[in-house]
Amino acid sequence: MDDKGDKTMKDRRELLAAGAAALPAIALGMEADCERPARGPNASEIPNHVVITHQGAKALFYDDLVAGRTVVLHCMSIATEPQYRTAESLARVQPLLAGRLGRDVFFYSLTVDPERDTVHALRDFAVRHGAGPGWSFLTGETAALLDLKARLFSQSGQSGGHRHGSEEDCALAMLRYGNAAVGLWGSVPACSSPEWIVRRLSWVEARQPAAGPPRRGGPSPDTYLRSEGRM
Amino acid sequence: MATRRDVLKLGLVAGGAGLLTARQALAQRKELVKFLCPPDDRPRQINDQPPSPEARPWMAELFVPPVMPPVPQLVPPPDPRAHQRYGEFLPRKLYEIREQEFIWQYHPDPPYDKGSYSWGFQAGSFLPSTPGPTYQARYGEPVLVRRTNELPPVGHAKVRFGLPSTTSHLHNAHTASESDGNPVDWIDSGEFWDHHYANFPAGHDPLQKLTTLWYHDHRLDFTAANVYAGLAGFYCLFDEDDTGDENTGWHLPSFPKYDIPLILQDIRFAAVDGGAQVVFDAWNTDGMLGDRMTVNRRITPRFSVEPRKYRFRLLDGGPSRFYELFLRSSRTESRRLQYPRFTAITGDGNFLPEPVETESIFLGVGQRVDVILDFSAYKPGDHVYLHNLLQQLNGAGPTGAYLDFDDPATNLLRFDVVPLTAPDNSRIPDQFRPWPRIDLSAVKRERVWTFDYEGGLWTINNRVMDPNRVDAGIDQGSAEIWTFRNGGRNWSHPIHSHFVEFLFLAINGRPYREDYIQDIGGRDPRGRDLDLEPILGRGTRSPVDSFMGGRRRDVAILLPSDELKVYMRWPDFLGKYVMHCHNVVHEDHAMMIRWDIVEPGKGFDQPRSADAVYTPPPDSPPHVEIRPASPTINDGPSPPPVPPLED
Repeated sequence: MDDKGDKTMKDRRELLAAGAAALPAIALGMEADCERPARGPNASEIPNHVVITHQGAKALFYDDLVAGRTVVLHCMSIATEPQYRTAESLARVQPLLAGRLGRDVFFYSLTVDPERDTVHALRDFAVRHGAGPGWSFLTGETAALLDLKARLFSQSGQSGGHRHGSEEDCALAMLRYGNAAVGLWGSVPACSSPEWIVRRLSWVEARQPAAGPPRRGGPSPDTYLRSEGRM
Repeated sequence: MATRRDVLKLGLVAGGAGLLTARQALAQRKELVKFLCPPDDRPRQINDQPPSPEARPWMAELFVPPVMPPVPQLVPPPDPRAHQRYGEFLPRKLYEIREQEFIWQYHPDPPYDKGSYSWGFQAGSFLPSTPGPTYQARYGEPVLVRRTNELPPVGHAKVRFGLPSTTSHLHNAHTASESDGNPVDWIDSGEFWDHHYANFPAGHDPLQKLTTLWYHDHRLDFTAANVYAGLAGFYCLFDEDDTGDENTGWHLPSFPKYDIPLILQDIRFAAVDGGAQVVFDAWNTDGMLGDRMTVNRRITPRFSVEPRKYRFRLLDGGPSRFYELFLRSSRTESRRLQYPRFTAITGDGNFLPEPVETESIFLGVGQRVDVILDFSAYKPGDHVYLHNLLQQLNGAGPTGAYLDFDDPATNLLRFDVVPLTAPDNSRIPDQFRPWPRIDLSAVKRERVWTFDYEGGLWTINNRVMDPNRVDAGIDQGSAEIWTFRNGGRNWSHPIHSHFVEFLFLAINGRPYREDYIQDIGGRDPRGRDLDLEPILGRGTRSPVDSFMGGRRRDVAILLPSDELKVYMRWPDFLGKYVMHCHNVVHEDHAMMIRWDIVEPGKGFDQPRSADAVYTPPPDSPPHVEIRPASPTINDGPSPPPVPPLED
């Protein structure tokens, strides 16, 4: 597994080095058929569709954007933003991540309305929200975006799923956060405070095994003092 | 890694320039056409995934968790300053329990025989297990439990879907906030938390006593994953009536030989590298269903019983399934022998005023019912089978249809009758204890909680869990009337509130009568009439067909469109607690509120920020601040890069 992953990366680097500097080379590096090495713990779960960023670049959703990274994913559209305000929420999270956004933490905002949310429209939208490096708004072929939505955000499987008054039920108020290198994912309401959203990203980060004897984690040693005389 | 990312970043900019050669444009079109490459043909939800590997029923032996052994001392010793009322309830027993990752044997058949990575608890000389060891606690005997998180940290755990950062809630216990296992009171790998369980009934009222409690992980956002990974176990609370000895008190079957806890959990497995591993779907928000029914984490096991009375503590361990349990035996000469009844003695944590005979037991997630099963009419070689006949296809709840006994999906547990080894001195008393008194003069506030859905999140009063928002400020010692209203017409929610049990006042507008047992027999969640006769093949019905718990509970089953009105009272401690849906997938998608017990006179009606409720120390009540157990992403240097894991 490790070998395969490394090899893919190496191949791609070589292709990039050899080919044009243009981004499509990333996707061109893939074979024309659908074969790809399963790379990472979520490779079988997360669709690897071609998506287009608000900067007009194409990328394979899983291989190029998600694999191996700590990411925040969410569904949105420019039309529904006033109701759910998820982009607004991420815009508040962005400064708290300082230099890490774009380095090893990435936000991906997937439109559920790719027909209207074109690259151009999303670019304007990104500018309005001050999206910096590492935060990409994704559009593309309708079927690709709908499939991403279906797999990652909506509940419409054969076994029923739910309808809460809308066929377009797509978890628009929720952010998925995860560490794709490890395969660990959680969900957080987009309306949560920026600090709590950032804190969650730290939860899914890899850590070193603890050394030494166990440390006291709680309860807080001033519990009694603060409750004294109140019983 | 960085190199590739930098390249990608550069590429993004270059791509934006839109300079494409004709060849590239053609290739681009090809790529866009291949957007439907796999995995779009893969199942989208866990409930649609391929079935788990086959496992023959009744081949695995039931696992009976060991009784938790006390330890003589703790090093370092407990810190009395870390607990409310520690001096009043000095621990008389100390325990040490460790959360670990290990290989658990769900079934002897291949590929299960190679074992499956699980999380659970380890104590004393016992091997780690799921469920963990069973506590044998006693009223009047406070205990201190030191729980150490020895799980491998993120990036090292074989159970990838769980967060190895834990908080253990003692479900149903009347404990101080700091010992409750609040969702934000987590410890990371390498840390320990001291839980002080004072083991006294709420308000020192003997009628508030409890018996069957369970402990389970309650980590914010990861409760479903962590409990599904195996972090659960039982805590049995005894007293001078319910002694655990069939020769004394109420003479209920003796613990632990004839008093067996049974946690029901439905798990899905995938064949991986010749073994079978537990499958979790982090993308599911509705509720996960497994297709392998486990009892104490063995798939459809068997258990040898003597022809005598047993007490079984039935628990729906979730994550999302409702159960309606029925019995059938291998003996067909009489209806009573073929379809034995349960004698229910408890509902959730408490004893019923008197035992109730019933055809079936209905359980929502988190609920318990203790039953007495009497095998004395059976002979060695006979079999009695425990089945779940309730059909459920997704997280919404039961469909309203029943499955047939012969459907293998209904199998849970087979009792194999073996010869009697000693006289059965157990009895079923005619009466236990009355419900606690409802004192309406103590009611200070009434609140309505509406459970609904919005934008992928499960809501309570149109809000979602925010650990820093206090949705209800409750005056210590006061009572309140809460109305749980299901805002949805298709979804069921088992609603659980910590700290105290509630008493029903009304169900769907109908006042609760003292002699009333909530009975869904003849009524399915969608309100249609049901007829159990084709299943049970009986002429007449018993007065209670389906037992759903008594008047006093800690989980309220909100069936579609239901409205339940309950009475609760909050004495003894201060601090933060939660109320939430115990379909733990709903809970993790934010169907939870924080409520706080505050000093008398300082309660409030509308949600407030915790910062507004509590001024800085020393005026703040105990343990209300969020504990940042781990540095935030801004703190300190970045962790080292994650080594790729082997698949």
